[in-house]
Amino acid sequence: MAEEHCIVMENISKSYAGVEALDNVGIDILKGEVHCLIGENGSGKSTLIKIIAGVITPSRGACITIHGKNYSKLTPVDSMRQGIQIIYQDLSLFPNMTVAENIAINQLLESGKQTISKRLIHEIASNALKTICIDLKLETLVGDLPIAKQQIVAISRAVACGESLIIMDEPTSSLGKKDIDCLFRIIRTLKSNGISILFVGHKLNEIFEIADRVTVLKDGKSLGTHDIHELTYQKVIELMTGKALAISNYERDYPSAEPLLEVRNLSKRFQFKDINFTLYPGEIIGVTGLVGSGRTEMVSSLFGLNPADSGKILVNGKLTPIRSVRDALRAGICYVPEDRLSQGLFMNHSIKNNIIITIFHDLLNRLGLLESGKVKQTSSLWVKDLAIRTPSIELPVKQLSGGNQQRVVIAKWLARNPRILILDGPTIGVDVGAKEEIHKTIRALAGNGLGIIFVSDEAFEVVQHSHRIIIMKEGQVVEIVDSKDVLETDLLEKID
Amino acid sequence: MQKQQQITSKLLFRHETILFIIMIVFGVVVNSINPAFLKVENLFDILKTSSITGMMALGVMVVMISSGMDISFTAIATVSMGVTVRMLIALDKGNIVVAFLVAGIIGALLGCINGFLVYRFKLPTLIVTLGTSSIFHGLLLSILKIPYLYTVPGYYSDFSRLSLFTFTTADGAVVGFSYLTVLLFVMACVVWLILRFTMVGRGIYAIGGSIEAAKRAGFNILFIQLFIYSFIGFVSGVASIEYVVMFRHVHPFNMMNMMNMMLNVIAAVVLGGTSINGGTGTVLGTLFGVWMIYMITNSLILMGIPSEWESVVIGFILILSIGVNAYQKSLRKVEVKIIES
Repeated sequence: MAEEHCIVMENISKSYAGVEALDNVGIDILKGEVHCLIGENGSGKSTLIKIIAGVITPSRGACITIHGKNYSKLTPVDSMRQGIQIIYQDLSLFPNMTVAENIAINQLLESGKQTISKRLIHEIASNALKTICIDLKLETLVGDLPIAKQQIVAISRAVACGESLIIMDEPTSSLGKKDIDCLFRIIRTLKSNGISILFVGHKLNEIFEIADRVTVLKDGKSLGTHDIHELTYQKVIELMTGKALAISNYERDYPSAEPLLEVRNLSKRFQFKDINFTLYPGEIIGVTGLVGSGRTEMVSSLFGLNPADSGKILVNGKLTPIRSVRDALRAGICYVPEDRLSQGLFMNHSIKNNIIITIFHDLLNRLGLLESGKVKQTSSLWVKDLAIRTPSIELPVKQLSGGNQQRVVIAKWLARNPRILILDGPTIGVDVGAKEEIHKTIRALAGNGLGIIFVSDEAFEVVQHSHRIIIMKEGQVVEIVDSKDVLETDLLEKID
Repeated sequence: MQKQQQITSKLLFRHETILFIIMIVFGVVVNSINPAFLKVENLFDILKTSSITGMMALGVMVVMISSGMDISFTAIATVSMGVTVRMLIALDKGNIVVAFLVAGIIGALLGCINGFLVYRFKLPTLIVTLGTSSIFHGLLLSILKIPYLYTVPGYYSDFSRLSLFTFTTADGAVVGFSYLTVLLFVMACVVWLILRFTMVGRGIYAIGGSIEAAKRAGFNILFIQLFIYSFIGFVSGVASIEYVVMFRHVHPFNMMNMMNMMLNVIAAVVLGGTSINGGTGTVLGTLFGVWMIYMITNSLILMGIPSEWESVVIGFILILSIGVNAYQKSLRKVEVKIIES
């Protein structure tokens, strides 16, 4: 039995300043399996992989067995010698060096050679690429490659070292669908070569596609290792969040009122063409499509960030040309961007100041200065309304969790009392529990009569939380479907 | 056929090729104004006078590839020059080889201090070397009290007249290929070999690309940093003796002169295609950069333009070449994207 194990870890604990980051966790990885490690942010995933890498030493009593050899703790050198390599999210590549050099460098360092030749480097690199059945130009600079190809280089580097366990830390976080498929193909090839993969992630559909077994962490404790066949979506979410979630599709219960927003033949050269749809008060419209399908360009044109060339936009039945953000705001349209960190928030400023930024004109007193009483009142109101979890509204936004940050962005725009809210990828980079909270917020807002346009590439989410779904492909609307009439799998097919 | 085309376009893409073409065109243009420019004696003279800058430029290039910056090299040169010459006079023996070695070792030791500080305290290299530059020069004046030396032992000037080979031109002048130029070529070859064929060389590029990744890959960062900064110290020491060879005096206060030298060196390295953000740079490009700078200053003299304009021109070149560098980078990105799609 022990023969089949690549690594067995038992009694792994680690605490920082009295806080238990890991509490008596155990994990065992078989040879040639894809083992997924999942859990919400702060559940101890990264602490565990750092212990495997030897970067962090576990508390006393730990027992680690790699290929039949026992350790009570690992050093980075032990870990490397035993053929373990981590592919970090930032990939740790050298952008100024060629593909070949990047692939070969670790192996050259490990072999302790002092001199090198181009031929040797090419030989190592092309062998590694052959193993994973990928063709890449060896002389290209890595910095010139798209992120997906860079990832392949990082994997090849691990292969070149003859690693027996490759740990991938959220490898799909910056990849599109096609690249993810390619990555999964590589993972399967590695698996067939007897290499074990520890796949750290949080996107459930990917885990169900690739994993053999899954270990779930929650608050530093292991909730056991499960065979993938024993699990369902619901079960995993329950394990990760610790509560039974009643997932139900959103019921259509908006009154058949006058349309809030009508979009007629909206077009912009090279970006999108002939977009037509109508949004009613209290309705949630999901917009989905691949990256590059024009969905973000289309919705940002509704907010005047990327004004359209032709077509009409009607708000409340009135023709409303939108050529700038100002026009959009006047028409009661607000937009929560995809990248909340760079576009939505001032990370070092307080929650309070972030929320009032859109309305500070209304909070000025006669001298033109901000009235601090009003500022506090307004921002506290929104913090309460959206259930933003924070001890104080004076805290800088960067100290909040992803889900709470996203709610600050939403609060900031809601403060303007919009009638139409556009949310571009509101749950990207947010863990499962926080996602649920955001979904609840969105539903509650629609309940109050707001019209919501909700862009997401997770089909699962779109089907469950919107009334109708606009499917975009290559800048055009493929179909507008009712979420009641569509299954998630159908949707995925239509997107591709 | 297609492969042929690829190779040609790749060659044309290279910074060195572009620089070489500019050098030729420039030479021909200046020569049409003053035919003395492309005469062998003038070219050999350019090679000789540029050898000090070239020596230091090799050091600066290595530092810049590792995405660092060293501005203490002129101070290191002043210190190793003063100490070496003074010490050899006091001992009343020595020869040119010993002088080069001693100055090189003193320079390397001082550079080692830079390397250690950069590694240990993870401070911005520019600030560290600005600090040590002031400390080194201050100590030279306060503790070592090196005076002006207007006469230096004969072996310095002897070396300056030494040539690898000489020949007589049509109008009867004897032209020699200076050993100072030979020294630069030897050092350039050594640097080329290190950068290209050793793990230390790869480590220097790796640190320049991403120091975090270099650490994770298992490079010995301390060793590489010490190597980089003692190397620039070493070449600065060697260059300082070349200065004595050429100008036959030791001037412990000539920081001003050295500032000018610093501008020339850094301009040459940047013009040679080394990225100020680290990670890229070649020996050939750096040499071309150095020669280009000297061709320009030499031509200003030949064309009778007052020498005050020299620093203005070099300052312009420095800024222009950084701009061109950035532009080329953006072009390549576009090209790669086209190939990818």
